[in-house]
Amino acid sequence: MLYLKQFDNTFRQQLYKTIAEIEQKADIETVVIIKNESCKYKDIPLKAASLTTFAIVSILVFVPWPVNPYVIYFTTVAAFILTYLAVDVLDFIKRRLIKPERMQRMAEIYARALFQKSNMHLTQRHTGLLIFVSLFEHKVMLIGDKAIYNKVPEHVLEIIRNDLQQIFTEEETALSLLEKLKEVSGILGKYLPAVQNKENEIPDNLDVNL
Amino acid sequence: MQLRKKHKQLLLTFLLLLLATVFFARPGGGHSYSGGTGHTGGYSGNYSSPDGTIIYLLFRALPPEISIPLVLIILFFVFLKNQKAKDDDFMVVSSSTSAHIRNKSQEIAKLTARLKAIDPNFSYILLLDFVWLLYTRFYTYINDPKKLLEIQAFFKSDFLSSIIKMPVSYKINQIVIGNIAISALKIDEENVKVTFSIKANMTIEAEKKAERYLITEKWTFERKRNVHSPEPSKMKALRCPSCGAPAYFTDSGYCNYCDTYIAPGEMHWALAARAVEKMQIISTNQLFAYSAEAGTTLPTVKDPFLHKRMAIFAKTHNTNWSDYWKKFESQIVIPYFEKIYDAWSNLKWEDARAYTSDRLWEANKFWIDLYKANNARNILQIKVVRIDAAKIDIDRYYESITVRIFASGLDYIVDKNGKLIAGSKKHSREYSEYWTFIRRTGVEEDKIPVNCPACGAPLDNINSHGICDYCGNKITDGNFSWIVTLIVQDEEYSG
Repeated sequence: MLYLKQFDNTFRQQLYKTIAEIEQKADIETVVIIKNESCKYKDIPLKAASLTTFAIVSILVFVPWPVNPYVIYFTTVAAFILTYLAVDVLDFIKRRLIKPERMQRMAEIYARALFQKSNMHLTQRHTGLLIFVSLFEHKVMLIGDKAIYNKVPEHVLEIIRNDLQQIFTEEETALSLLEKLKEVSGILGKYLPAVQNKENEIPDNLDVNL
Repeated sequence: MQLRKKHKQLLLTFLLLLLATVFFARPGGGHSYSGGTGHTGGYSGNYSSPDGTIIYLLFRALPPEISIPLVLIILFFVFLKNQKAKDDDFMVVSSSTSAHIRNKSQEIAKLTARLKAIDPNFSYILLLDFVWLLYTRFYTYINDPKKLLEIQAFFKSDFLSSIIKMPVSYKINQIVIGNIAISALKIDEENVKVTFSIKANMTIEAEKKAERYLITEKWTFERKRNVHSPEPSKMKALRCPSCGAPAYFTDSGYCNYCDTYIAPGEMHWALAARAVEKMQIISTNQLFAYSAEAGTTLPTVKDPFLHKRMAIFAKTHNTNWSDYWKKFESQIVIPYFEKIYDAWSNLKWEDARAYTSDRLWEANKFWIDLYKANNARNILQIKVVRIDAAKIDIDRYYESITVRIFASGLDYIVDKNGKLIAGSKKHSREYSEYWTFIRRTGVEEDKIPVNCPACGAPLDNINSHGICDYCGNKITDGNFSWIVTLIVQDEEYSG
């Protein structure tokens, strides 16, 4: 994906600074994780290729004029390979063939797994917040610990989610994400005001590997 | 041999097309694109090549206006798929970047300089010793409230009360601290706060079962700003900050020897906060795991005051820095490096005792013992390629020089029969590490000791406490010569 280049070292530095600003304004331990995809969806190109192949074979076998068997054979094989590759490689086609609910579910499953695996639920005041951005699915998930859900109303979290979701409508997705995160800090600070002398409980070098 | 994913894809494409060749090729005969009247068609041809190549069939079966673009399009998509596969591991986590770590370390260096101006007795080396000691004692006494109370003067407010009220049922021993470094420093009007990032491993015994854990935590110490650091004897041991007697405090915080109330943080550093960041069980597999070097290409993290301190160091020792540096590289860094790695490779860690601090020796002894228990040996046939100066620290009690050593060579693990378990006997590995050398201020010795620097006896009788059993002098606290006190991996070093 070409736009992965937006998430370069400069972006990472700015992201870290933005998180530090959020944590100064609000009593939350925030981690942002950006992943290219939450699931491979290998079945989608396979299904598409199978359907295309079936269609091609049907056409070629039942056309009223004679067709060289080699043409049938090679066209079938080529159709399968081409369709599989095209659907697998071209994200905009693949995304349209996957149900939105499925993408939402996969992004949520992945986000929850990351939250658990990175031990974000082990902070003392339970103020861990994971903002997971799944680029292929165009989904932003917010997974918070107890204190987040206890103190921040659900409709506010929904507003934050919807706001962050808008980054996929912008060409500069990375930049848009940074701007939205700064806005989020202001909102969350009202419900979880910053605590003096707070200790960072989530390590600076968070190492998450599913 | 496992094929890479892209090779599998290419092979699959090739096999699919080859299948056509095998299916249709006939020795001595062939076929031509002659059409036919029905679906099956009939074929005859004068093709005499016995191979029936894929490309030939493809070009014969389909007109070239279709077959050529078709092949090109397929190859193009295969290429795109391989390119996309490189993004499989793409992940951005909002953690420190190396640039941020460098900036942070520079900030800490400046604050440390400010702290030294306020507290002339401040010594980073001695503070590390103190933290090391307190950390080890805390975990050793964690299930013994009485023992914890004896050292309560070093813990602020209610830190210990919850543990004392509800003692834990597990026991902790074999505590080894692998790395310890300042991660934050705050100086305000009233207090000074220092946060240490500590990586340690320890055995936790619970329910008649013992497991080894790797723990990463942050410990924050606090002290009144106007207090000067105690002298070395009170930093290297847990002693009453008032009378200097061994730490033994009553329930209400009075020293049992001098009857002075010691409010935590008023006269000495006290632990104010603790956060466990990571806790995982260590398995033997981790001993034999080799991962790609992550930090070798990172720029050297240099202290912002390095050049200034080079000048101060040179002036103190009546020399010029470039001459001293050449001597330091050739007579200290390289010989120490070779001696320590020889001891490691030969599993004779006692041979490194005279050159390492107590902390470093104990931390690495754990791994040596683990190798021995698993009948394995990590052999390092490496040479120093380059040495960069990274930091110089001079205080009232110690001077320290931190260098970045770039090395290259063979690094592999073998079993007792010499069979390769991990690593490579053929391919060199390049890596770098940050080594910190320390010695007491005023010591001028600049050579690796070949005999006990106190009595001149051979170095074959240095016990595990770093004491020469011939003369009874402790030679591993920098009183006589340089010793190595810290070895940090390049990707972890932050200044």
